Amino acid sequence: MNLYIDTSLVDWSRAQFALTAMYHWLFVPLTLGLGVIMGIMETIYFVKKDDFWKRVTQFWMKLFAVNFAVGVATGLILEFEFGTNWSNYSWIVGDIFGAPLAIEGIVAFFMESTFIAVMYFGWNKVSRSFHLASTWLTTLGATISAWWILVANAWMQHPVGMEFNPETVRHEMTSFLSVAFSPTAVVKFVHTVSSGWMTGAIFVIGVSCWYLVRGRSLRFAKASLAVGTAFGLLSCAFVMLSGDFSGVSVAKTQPMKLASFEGLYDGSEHAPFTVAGPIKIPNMLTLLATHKFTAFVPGINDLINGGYPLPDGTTALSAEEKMERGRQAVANFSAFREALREGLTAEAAMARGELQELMPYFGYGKIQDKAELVPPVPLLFWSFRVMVGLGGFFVLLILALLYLQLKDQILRFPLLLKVAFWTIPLVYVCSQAGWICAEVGRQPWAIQDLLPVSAAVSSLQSSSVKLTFFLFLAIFTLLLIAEIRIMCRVVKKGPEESEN
Amino acid sequence: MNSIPKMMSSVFRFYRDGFRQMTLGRTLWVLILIKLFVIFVIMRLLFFQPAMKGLSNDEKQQRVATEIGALQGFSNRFSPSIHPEQ
Repeated sequence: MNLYIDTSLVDWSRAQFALTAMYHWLFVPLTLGLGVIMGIMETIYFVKKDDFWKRVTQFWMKLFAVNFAVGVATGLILEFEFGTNWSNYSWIVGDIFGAPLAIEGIVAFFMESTFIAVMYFGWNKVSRSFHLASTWLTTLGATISAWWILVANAWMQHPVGMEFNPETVRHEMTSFLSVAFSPTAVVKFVHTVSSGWMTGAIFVIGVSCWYLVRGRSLRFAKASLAVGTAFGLLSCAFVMLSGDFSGVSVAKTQPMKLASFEGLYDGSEHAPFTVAGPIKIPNMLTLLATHKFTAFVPGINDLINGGYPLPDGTTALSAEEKMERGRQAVANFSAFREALREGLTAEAAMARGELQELMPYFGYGKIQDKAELVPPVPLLFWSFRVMVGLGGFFVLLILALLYLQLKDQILRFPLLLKVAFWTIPLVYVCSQAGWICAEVGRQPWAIQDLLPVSAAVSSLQSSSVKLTFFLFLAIFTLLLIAEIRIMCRVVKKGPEESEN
Repeated sequence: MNSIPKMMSSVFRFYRDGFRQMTLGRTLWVLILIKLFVIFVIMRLLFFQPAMKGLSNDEKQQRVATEIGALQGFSNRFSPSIHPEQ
């Protein structure tokens, strides 16, 4: 068997997965955000019994339908890729990863497919309260789906609630609750879903402002803008709060990721936050990462060289020491398998015991050079700043729009309305930058500290991975063009036509 | 006794009328069906066969054990140097 994994295979497999996940993530956030906004609008209709709000809801439901139809099933391709491109990974994590993905599939299928039909076909056929419940349950279904996907993702970033069985070569779940409600999963869920809400809010704000600039459907646009800005502000608050907790969580479980976000090579007890270039806010990184004024935040060199104090009072190991322990873990794994094959029970038990002790370093046994442990710093540094910078811009924009609405002067600032419209693509840039931070930041790990991507990948011909990469690129680009064209058509028609 | 067929018939009518009255929905359904065909027929059958298809569980275990037990030759060419200032 050829055990050599060429770098181009790993890189192309990663590129393919990244491409698929990023395209899928173009559709998901709008589904999450627009779903809640539709729910709010229909709730207003339900309370006020004013048909105007029914028409407003129906218009945004049309755009939701376009996004949902184009986005649906694009995530399935990721599951194909697990089996084809990441078969080692799939085998190793099957017991753990399978459970949340199966629940996601069942919940997504039954909740969304049942209630979305009532949401679209049920106007005037079911009671208003049942219709309202269906709208909220469709959104809830999508949100619960996101929960289980993010549980699976969070487990890869911070594996908990499992034990490695060298006999089956699988991580086996020991605590479902630890996996389902790990702090990493909770923080990731709130941050990701609220960023989806923000995407929905910016989308509604942008489209509403387009109508205001054109002087069309003014009552509709003002009403939608009011809901969009109020919900947008709430979403931004959730994004910022969960982002703060996410920073603390990353500092604890993935310190290399945090150091790479900051381009921090040498840590300190009063680490500054780099805004850009030489502009730094003293002590801010320590405060953000630890919620303390004085605490050591390790830099990339510290994490490689070790020797710095850990919060539990011990001293951090160097990368070389971790790699040595990892090699011992791999040797014990092989010794266990060998002893098992030969029927040497005592030797197998001893190797298994040593393997369990060294298991936290298992993945380091596959690392050839300590430089592999450093993710691409410039990409992460700038992605993080794009994400945070745009997030700050969205808050300012929403506050300005809210203020002008309260003063009833919104139409006097057409430039701001145009800026709001052109902010729609920026919210997607922000969202994608967030994914780059989360996923590139954990390299080289498929499962943090336990399995590097080089060991997770299937032994395939890289040419076949390249072929499917370009096939996906073509298909997803066509889908995206189709979505944008249909959405533009619906928006240009406007809510007046949708009333009929 | 008649309530179940009655309910099923009203559910059928609900969906039938819903599909009949679609306007934009027709375009979206065409898009969905084309996409599902591409994903499940073209991609799944031609390009995405599971890498360990046809192997027994024991063979899968052995294969993964061999691959994760002895891997070599990988280096991350995107990684920067560790000490950029030096």
